Amino acid sequence: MIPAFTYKNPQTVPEAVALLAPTWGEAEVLAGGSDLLAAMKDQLVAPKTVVNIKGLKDLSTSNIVGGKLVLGANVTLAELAELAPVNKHFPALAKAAKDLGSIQIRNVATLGGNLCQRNRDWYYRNQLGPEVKENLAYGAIFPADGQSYVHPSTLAPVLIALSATAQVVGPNGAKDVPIEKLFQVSDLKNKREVTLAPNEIITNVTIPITEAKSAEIQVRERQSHDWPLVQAAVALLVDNTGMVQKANIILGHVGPVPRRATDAEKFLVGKKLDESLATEAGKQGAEGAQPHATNEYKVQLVRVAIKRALLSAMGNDYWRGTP
Amino acid sequence: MAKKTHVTTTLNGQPTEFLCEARQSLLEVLRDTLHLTGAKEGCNNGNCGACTVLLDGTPVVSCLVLGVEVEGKSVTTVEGLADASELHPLQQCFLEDAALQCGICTPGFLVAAKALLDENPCPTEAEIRFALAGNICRCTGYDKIIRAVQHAAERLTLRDGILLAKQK
Repeated sequence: MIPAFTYKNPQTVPEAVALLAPTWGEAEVLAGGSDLLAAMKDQLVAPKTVVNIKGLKDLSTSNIVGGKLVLGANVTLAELAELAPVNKHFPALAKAAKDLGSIQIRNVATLGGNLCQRNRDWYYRNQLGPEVKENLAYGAIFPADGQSYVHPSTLAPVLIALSATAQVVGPNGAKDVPIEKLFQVSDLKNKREVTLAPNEIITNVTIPITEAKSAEIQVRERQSHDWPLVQAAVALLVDNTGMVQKANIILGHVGPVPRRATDAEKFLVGKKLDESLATEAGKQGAEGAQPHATNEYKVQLVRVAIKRALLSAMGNDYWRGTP
Repeated sequence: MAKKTHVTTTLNGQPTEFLCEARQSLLEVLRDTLHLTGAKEGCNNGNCGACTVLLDGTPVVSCLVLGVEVEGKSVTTVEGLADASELHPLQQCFLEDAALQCGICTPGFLVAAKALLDENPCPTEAEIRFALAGNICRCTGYDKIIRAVQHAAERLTLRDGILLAKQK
């Protein structure tokens, strides 16, 4: 059994925020529980208070407001995969949610929780320390600040590609944070993977509905239930002659934060996308990788994932990947 | 000992009350407090699916749900599948098709498969495999399990078809 804690079940957002503490480790937010309860069982966190935010009903709804889709942070991944406006406007997001975890996990895990989850680095979860990390086959090929874990969120790269924003509520009220600014390199101690303060929660995620064509590709060892080895999410604004006007290319599971493939994005602007161009963009997206012997294979996976995501976004279903 | 919370829920169709500590998972409550030992503890970390139960009709891993969270909800465990007179067709087909060896994973598979067939009475093989991906078996391999679910689906549609014809 996990250590005892005080369980709180607030009904409003201000009530929930007031129950949280200004320092990490005191109180934890419980949404779906698939990350928090696992971390508590692994003895990575032992909060004095657990604040269940599932009672906050406004966080479970989704609406289209002024040309934007607003998704409550408590929407489960199973709901996200089925929501009609998500499937209509952002098929890449629906696919990422549908491919994530197992049905048991998707039924409880939430959108907000997916963004706030702790990393899944094997050495971190097993508290084995950093000295043996060189052998990490699933680790970062774009390490940063001495950290070679990969950011665990599979929704984040897609949401960044779609220029989504999170509403963050804390003791001083609400603010909008672009999803891209939501993440930082954790020191695996008191600096977490999210830029949220310990007494802030995500209440919703807003995605602007645009003409952008989006797609995401995950390369995984198993199709049915697995973490991605590499993920590429793209959103392309293309004019009526087929010319790329703006490209967002975001890589997941390659570094401690989702990575924007800036060179590949610049390379595509003003060009008509075809297979050879997509291949070249993939090569550019993998530039600068710093793999070690056991995860060098991921570099090639990045090239392929970007290429397939671009061609899939352009409507070529052959490159869409797993069913 | 920490203070206990009074929880009211519907368990396998019956109104049920129990006392539990906040730190107890639903799995611990089911097994240790309510003595329903059908749901099994495998990894206790959300990976293996052996503790799968239905929460308001959808499959969840009960090791990653707190007991206090099921207040006002409906929980179905493997004990709720069969009625008094006969096994559920899924259970019968698991027996006939030898879809189990040690049996630890079986309750989880049965519950997850029931959730699938409730929603999709005629699933394809691929749909079955994806729906059961969160359940891990370390003995038989999965082919016999998939076959058993296919047979149960056939039997259930036949049974429901006969019931429907009788009603007409």
